[in-house]
Formats: sequence, structure tokens, C-alpha cells
Amino acid sequence: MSNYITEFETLFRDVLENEDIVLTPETIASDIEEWDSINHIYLVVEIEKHFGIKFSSSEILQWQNVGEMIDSVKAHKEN
Amino acid sequence: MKNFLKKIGLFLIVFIVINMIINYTYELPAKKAIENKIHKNFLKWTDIHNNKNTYDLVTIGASRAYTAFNPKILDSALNLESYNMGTSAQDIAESYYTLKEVLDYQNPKYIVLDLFFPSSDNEHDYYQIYSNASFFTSNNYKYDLVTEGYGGTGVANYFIPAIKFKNYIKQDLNGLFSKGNTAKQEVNWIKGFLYDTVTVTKKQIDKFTPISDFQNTAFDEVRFKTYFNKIKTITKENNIKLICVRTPYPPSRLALNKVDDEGIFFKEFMATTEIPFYDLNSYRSATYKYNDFDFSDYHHPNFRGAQKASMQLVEAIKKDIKQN
Amino acid sequence: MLFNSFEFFIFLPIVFVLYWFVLNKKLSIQNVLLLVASYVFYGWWDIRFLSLIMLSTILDYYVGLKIHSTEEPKKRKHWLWLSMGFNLGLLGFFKYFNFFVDSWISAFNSIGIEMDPFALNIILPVGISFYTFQTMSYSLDIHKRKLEPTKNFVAFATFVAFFPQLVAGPIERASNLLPQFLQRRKFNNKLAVDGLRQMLWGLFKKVIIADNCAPYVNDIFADYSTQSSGTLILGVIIFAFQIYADFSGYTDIAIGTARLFGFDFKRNFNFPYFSRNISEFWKRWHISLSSWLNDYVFTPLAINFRNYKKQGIFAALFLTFLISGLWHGAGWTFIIWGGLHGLYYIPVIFSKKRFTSISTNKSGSNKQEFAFSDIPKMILTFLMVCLTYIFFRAASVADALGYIKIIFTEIPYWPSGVPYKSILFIIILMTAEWFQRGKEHGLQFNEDTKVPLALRWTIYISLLLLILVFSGQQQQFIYFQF
Repeated sequence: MSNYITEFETLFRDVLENEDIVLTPETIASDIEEWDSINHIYLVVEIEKHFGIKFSSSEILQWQNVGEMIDSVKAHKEN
Repeated sequence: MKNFLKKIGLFLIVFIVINMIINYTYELPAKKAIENKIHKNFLKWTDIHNNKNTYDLVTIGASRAYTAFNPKILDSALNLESYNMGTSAQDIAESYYTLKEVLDYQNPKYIVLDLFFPSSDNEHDYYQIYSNASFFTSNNYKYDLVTEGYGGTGVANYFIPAIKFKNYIKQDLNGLFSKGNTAKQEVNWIKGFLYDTVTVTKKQIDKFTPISDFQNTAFDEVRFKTYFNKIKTITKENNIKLICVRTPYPPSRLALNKVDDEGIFFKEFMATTEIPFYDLNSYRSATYKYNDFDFSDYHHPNFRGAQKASMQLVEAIKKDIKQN
Repeated sequence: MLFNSFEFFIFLPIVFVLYWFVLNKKLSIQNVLLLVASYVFYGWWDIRFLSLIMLSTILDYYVGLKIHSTEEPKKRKHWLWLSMGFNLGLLGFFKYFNFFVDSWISAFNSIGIEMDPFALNIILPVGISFYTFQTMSYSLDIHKRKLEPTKNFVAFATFVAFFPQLVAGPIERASNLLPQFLQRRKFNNKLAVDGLRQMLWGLFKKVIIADNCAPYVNDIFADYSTQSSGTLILGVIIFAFQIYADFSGYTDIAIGTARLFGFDFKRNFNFPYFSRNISEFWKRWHISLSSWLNDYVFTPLAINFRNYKKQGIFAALFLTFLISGLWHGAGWTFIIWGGLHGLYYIPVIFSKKRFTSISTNKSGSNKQEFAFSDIPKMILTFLMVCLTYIFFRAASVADALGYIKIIFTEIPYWPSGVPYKSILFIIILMTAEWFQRGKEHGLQFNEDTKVPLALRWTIYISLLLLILVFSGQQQQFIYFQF
């Protein structure tokens, strides 16, 4: 998990242009000012590009927090 | 909770006190006038109540009615006793209840009702209405007037001075920012009629706006028909001849309306009833031609205009006597 | 029942007393009282409306449980579609049937095929756009596994019909509001007092500002072709304040009333005319609707279009705004209004600058850190929004275009018939809200405030008296037609 968290943090900081972002598995969108709905899409695209995976729409829509996003990535990577 | 209720209670007390002050301030002139026996509604109702079964013809309506029909002229031309029960800002529901109160004391042969759109719209000068009603001896009529005539808003206006006097408070607030106009002194009352010697000025004429029409007035047709029918019924039941009129406007003002919605509406509506209707703006206009100087302002006839309007009414009544 | 009516003035204290003093013992009784009161409130308009909301309530209660009871994605989807289909069908029929028929007929007419005009005499049930959206969010959230359905039918029914927000929002999410119905409310003095202040502020905005602006605006829009360019510009600016005061005023009364009963609604307006760009505007205006559309329309669409990069995002956004327009009314003026807002995002999305620095104000949602240098941006954003209001308010697209033509082809001189009184009140409003911009609403005074008690009470009494004295002709809340 901790590897993924660090990778995610790098991605978030880059896409959201904020070097101070710190992520935990419980972090949700409203915790981070720049993480609005449009930037969410940019984030998803970057995550898919970075990890070389493709999420399904329903997966993406069911994410409740950063932890669940990471779980999805893991599930795709480990298949 | 206790804290909350205490706050609410205190707030209500402050609010009530302020309203009592408002009430006292704005009722003071009226109170003084009654004491000095110069309050116009007081004078009218005293005559109606004390001179039982005296008047053969009573005119009702708003201030346009009480400035248009001079009982002296009517009396001498028709050889009867007439009285003018027009009151300020009289609304049609108020006309109905005023009539009921009058009929408890009088048995006239004729009732003349003045019609115009503002008396059947949904804007009411509650202060004037309740001032008039305050002289009713029948508490039932007062109660019905407030509740049936005006509903919840009427009740709120009855009990909350801040609302009842809102037009007057607004006037005073506006007056803080502009030179106040002193209110007209209405002193010359003849059997309910105001003998007004003021003539409208050229400046005022230039500022005339069109009379009420469907665009600028929220005329409530349902309300009008409801109360008109009640008036019609009660006059019929008491074997009284009901005559309707539209008192005149300054011709320059009437000319500003592309279409005279008001005149057309009443003419057409009245034609469907059996009640005679005379539009004094055009009735026998060869003889009774109005000009702007027959008026004291944008819609009240002065003594000159009243001369003409009263004579028009005389002719209308004479016509009726001939026919029957 | 309207908030600014005599009936409500009697209704509210009665329900308040019953709620806190008489029927307070158990949660279920508290809820039943609110449910009955809400149905009385709603049925006051037209008792037939009740049948629809009851139907929607029963169906979505049942569907919620059904979705949750199965793990099969297909079955879950089917139940969801049932709820969406029913609610959208209801909305579609009552609100859009005549519009669709008219548009259909016009389309055929324009290519030469004559069709007889056909319209049903359908009455639009008050609040239908709001409560259908509210119950749909319940079904959608259960399907997304964001929320578990409740077995407490009374609590659910009350959540759907709760009178403060039933008729014109805010559109509350089940995850925020439903739990509040599942817990017995205890009286909170601070919340209740603040609620009263908020109601007073809302009434001030509605009665003194919105209702007094209405006649001026109505005259201008009714007769725009005879007005000068300057007057038309003033007309739409006044309308901007009218609709803000009307709608945010209603929301304040709704939220304030809910607070009296121990409920916490989410904020619906956050001083939108202080926005520095269009993206910020939509985070501050009618927040409950924009976030609903964001979560349930934009996000799914954008996710599906994510491989089309910025064009994909724009397409999703534009479609969402068209839908927002359509939600506001069955008419092309509203759709164009929405579309214009979508188009305003073009520079935002396609600019070389990263979206973040434009779309967010880094100062945090509760601290309004505005600088004077922001004022030009605020004015520009405000004027852009005003342009869209021409479509929103005009009676038809042709009227709106005519209106705009005059503004852009004539030199604007000083407008005629300037409503100085309304403008004075608007200035008072904006000044007060500017000073209170860090607060939840214009009249919020916390303990640490520097405003002494005497001054606060003078303000309350003055506002109340002003409301009574200036209560003009009762104008209907603009958003009741939605």
C-alpha cells in the first residue's frame, strides 16, 4: 500500500499542481481543494496512463476514497 | 429551550410595544378629529345612524364618489333626500358591507354604486377600510368584512399596525428624502359630499398617466363579480333600485389610454345584468362636457365637476322615474 | 403554502410547539408529526399533488431495499432503472410533455408538414423537479453502494416530503439528511436562534428586494422593444439581483426553518456574485443542484468520455449544462441559458493554463479571501452571467435575441425610470453580504462577533418592520415554476 500511496501522491501533486498534498487511504475529494470533478477526470486518466491499466466506468464511480482507488489499481495490476 | 423561549418572548414584547407606538402615532390625527367632530367618516356615520329612514338615495363608492355627487343638487332637482356614503379607498367588498350597515338604518329607493378597476383589485388601503368599518354598529359586519372580504391578510392588517399603516409609514419615509406635500385639508362636507374648491394645475396635468387598464391594474374580475352580485341581490331583496355609474376622469388623462379597458369592461358586463349603467365620461356629453379644470387632481372631480356629475345622475334618475 | 404568507405564519408555530413540547417523546412520533405537517403544507396547494409524491415515495422506498438485497449487477441495474424511469417519466410528463409536443410540431411545420397543435391541460405539481431529484439520488447512491437503504418507511417518507425543502430545495442528499431522520432530534438553542436569523434574512431578501424588483423587471421584459439600450442593461442587472434575492432568500428560509426543528441542511448559496470566474460561480450558485448534476450526470459522462481528452470533458460539461437548462424549464430559452454557461467554460477548459488555478480558489471553501484586485474579475463574471439571464427571463428565444440586439446595437444612455429604492436595497444587501462573506448567511452572528446585543436587536426589529411595511404585492417565488 505504501508504495502505491507515494506514487499516488506524486501523481496528485503533479496533476493538481500542489506540492503540499499528502494522501492517506481515507482521503476523499473534499479534503483537497483542487480535487474537483473536472480534475478528477484528469487524475483518472493519469493514473490509468501511469499504471498502464483501464478501469471500467462502474469501478471508477464506486470509489469512495483514495484507498479504494489504490485497491482497484492493485486488482488490475495483479491480474 | 427555556433560553430560546425567553428570547422569543422578549422579542415579541419589544415588537408589540413598537407596534403600539406606531398605532398611537398614526391613529392620533383620527382620534383628534373624532373628538373635535370633524372626522369625515364619523360625521357620515353619525348622520346615517341618527337620521333613521331619512335618505331616499345613497351613493356608495370610493373618494371619486364622494367628490362627484352633491346631495344639495340632487335633492333640489329630484325633490328627495340624498346622502353620499363614498369613503376613501372604498373597495368593493367594503361597499357591500357598508351597504348592509346603511340598510340597517335607512330604506332608500335608490343606491348608486360607482365602479372603477381599483375598487376590485387586490391592493387595499386597510387603514381607510378599517377606519370606515370602525363606525359600523354591527360587529357581525365588521367581522365578515375582515375575514370574508380580506382573508388572512385582512386579519394580519387588522391586528398588526406596522402592516395596517404601511402606506403611511412609507409616505413618511419617502418624505424624509423629499419635500413633503401637505395633505389636502378636507373640511367642506355636505351630507357626505366633499365640496372641493381646488383645481388641478397645468404642471399636474402634464404629469398625468393613463387611467387603470388591464396592463397597469391587477383587476380581479372574480372578486368584482362576487361582490357586485351580492350588492345586486341585497338591493333586489329590499326593493331598491340599483344604478351603477363610472364617475368622470380628466379628459386629458382618459386620452392617454389607447383602449379604455375599464369603460368597455363595465359597459359590456353591465349590459348582461338588468342594472342600468351610466358612464359619466360620455353620458349626454353634448350637455355635460368635461374639461381638465373640472377636477382637483388626477381623478377627483372638484365642485365644478361635481355640478356636472350630479346633474348627469339627476337625468339618469329622472329617466328611470319616467320608465316606471 | 408560501413561506411569506399568513397561513405559514400560523402553521409554523403550531408545528413547532407540537414538535418540541407535545409529540417529542419518541423518534417515530416526531417523524410522523413532520410527515403529516409536510403533507398538509404541500396539499395546501392542491391535494392532488399529494398522490404523486406518495407514489414516488412508496416506489423508491421499495426499490431502495430491492437494489440492496441483491448482488447481481444486472438485477441491481434493473431496479435502478425502474426508479429512474418512474421519476423521470413523472417529471417528463408533467413538465415536458407540452414542450416536446410543441417542439415536435414546430419542427414538422418548419419542413412544411402541417400538424394540429395539441396540448394537454397539465398542471405542473409544485416541487416535482426537486423531490424527484432527491429520491433519485437515494436510488443512485444505494446502487453505487454509497448508502444503505432504510427500513424505516416513515423516516424515508418524511425525508422526501419534509416541508422546508420540498417545494424549492435545497436538494438534499440521502447520505446527509436521511440519518438525521433516523435519530431523535434534541433542541439546540444556538441552532434554533441562528435558524430564526436566517429566516429573517431570507424574508428580507424575498420581500424587500426580490418582490420590489419584480414590477420594474416585468415591465422591461414585457415591453423590451420600446426600451433604450441603457434601460435594458439595467433591467437584466436588476433581474440578476431579483433572482438571487428570491431564490437564496427562499433557501435561507428553508434552511433556517429546518434548523428550528434540529435539522442541518447543506448550504445552497455561497455569495455567488462574488465569483471570480464561471467555474467558481457554479460552486456558489444553487450548490445542491450543481453538485447533484455534477455527481450524477457530469461525472459519469466525463468518465465515459475520458479518452477524448479536453474535448471529452467539454462535451460532458456542455451536455450537463443543457440538462441543467432543461431542468429549469420546458423551453428553449432555458436550454440556451444552460448551453451558454457550458460555452463559457471553453476558455477555462481549453486554455493553456492548467485547470486547477482557474477553477479553484485556493483559500478554502469557508474563508472567502477576496482581494480588491478581484473586483474586475467579479464584475466580468457577473456580466457574463447577466447575459445568460436575458435568455432565462425572456418569454421566448426571439424576445431574448431582440433584447440582445438592442443592447449591442444601440449606445447605452442613462436608463429611464431608474428604481432608486430597489437599487438602494440591493446595495444594502450586497454590502451586508460582503461583510458577512465568511459566514453561512448574511445575518449570522457568532459569539465572537463584535456586534453588540442592542445593535443586533435593532437590526432584527428594523428588518422585521421593513418586511411588514414594504411587503408589496405578493410575488410568487421564481423557482416554484421549476
